[in-house]
Amino acid sequence: MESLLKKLVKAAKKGDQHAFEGLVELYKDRIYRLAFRMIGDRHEAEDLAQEAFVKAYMNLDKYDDTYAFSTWLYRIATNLCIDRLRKKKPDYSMDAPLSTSDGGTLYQQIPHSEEALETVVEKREERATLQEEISKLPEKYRTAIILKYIEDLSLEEMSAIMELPVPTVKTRIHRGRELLKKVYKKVMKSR
Amino acid sequence: MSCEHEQLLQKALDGELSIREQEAFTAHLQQCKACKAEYELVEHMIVDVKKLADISAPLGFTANVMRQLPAGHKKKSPIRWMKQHPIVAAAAIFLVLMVSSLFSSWSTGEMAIAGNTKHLQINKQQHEVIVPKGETFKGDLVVENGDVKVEGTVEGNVTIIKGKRYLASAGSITGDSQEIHDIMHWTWYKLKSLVSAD
Repeated sequence: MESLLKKLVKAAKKGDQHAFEGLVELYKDRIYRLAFRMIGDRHEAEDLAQEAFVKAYMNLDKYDDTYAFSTWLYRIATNLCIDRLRKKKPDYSMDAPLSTSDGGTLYQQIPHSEEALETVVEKREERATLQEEISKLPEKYRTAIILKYIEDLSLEEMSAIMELPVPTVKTRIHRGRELLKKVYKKVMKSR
Repeated sequence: MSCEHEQLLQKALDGELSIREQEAFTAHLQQCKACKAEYELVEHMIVDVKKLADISAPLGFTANVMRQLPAGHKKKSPIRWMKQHPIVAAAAIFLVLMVSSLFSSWSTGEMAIAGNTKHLQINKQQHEVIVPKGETFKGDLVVENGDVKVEGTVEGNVTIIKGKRYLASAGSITGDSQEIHDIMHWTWYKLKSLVSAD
């Protein structure tokens, strides 16, 4: 497997589009899933995931074996998602850290409407809610939660993708978990 | 929850407890309902978050990506360079073609005719094209390095490059008629025809 992957990457670097097509097939689900969980919209996620592959193709000559190809691809996709989220963000954001508090957000300070949560009963809605809640996390925590729990990556891989030291990655997972827990608790209560 | 237990809890969730810590944590959970509930809640949440992984890329994804790629590139090939600098490349190609054609075709004396030659009388030695009496030439007539005698009718424009036009009394040209004698006019004419060729 490893050597097949290396062969594909090597051939793609030389301009072999069939080899690159193989790489797209291999990673499309992961990259699309990452984009969808980051952005929360299917069309936009598809656009972004495709953009990530095209960008990877254009920059293949810059890829070296320091990291796994998947790590490199995840990094491109993650950065594209974060760029997109920043562009979409209104001037006044609920996710923006408050200047007065230490890292908390406005979003955390507003209690969730209990009524809205009470209607959440069905599994599908619950899934959608969880996705929604993840989408509300500030980007840095959202990225950490998605890479860790949905993409199931190691701390080292995450560190390479997020371009942050491992302890910082850990902190972000903890913080993201804490933030998500608060809303999850309410979802559970409403059942 | 005390600070110590909070740390243990995070470590447990990260799966990073040592055997001794694991024992201590398990023992603590049996005593402390709050910690137990907390731990179970987050564990449950993680299971639910992990369930969000079961989606796959939409149909046709790979084909769509491949469609967006530039046609097969080789590193630093001229074609790739041209793709990255389309305007410069177009200008450069245009310039080369222009200059070479200027020098080659302006100096050649070969007579050239553009248009349907069926109704024309062509006299190569005398560098002469005749639209005979009673004949009707439909469309635009372009003659290079030759004179044009119109005794019949031309339904269209007549352009003569390095040549003269003789219009007989019975002859007529329904469109524009122009003679081009110098290289500047000729260049302008070529440019215009290049642009309008699209």
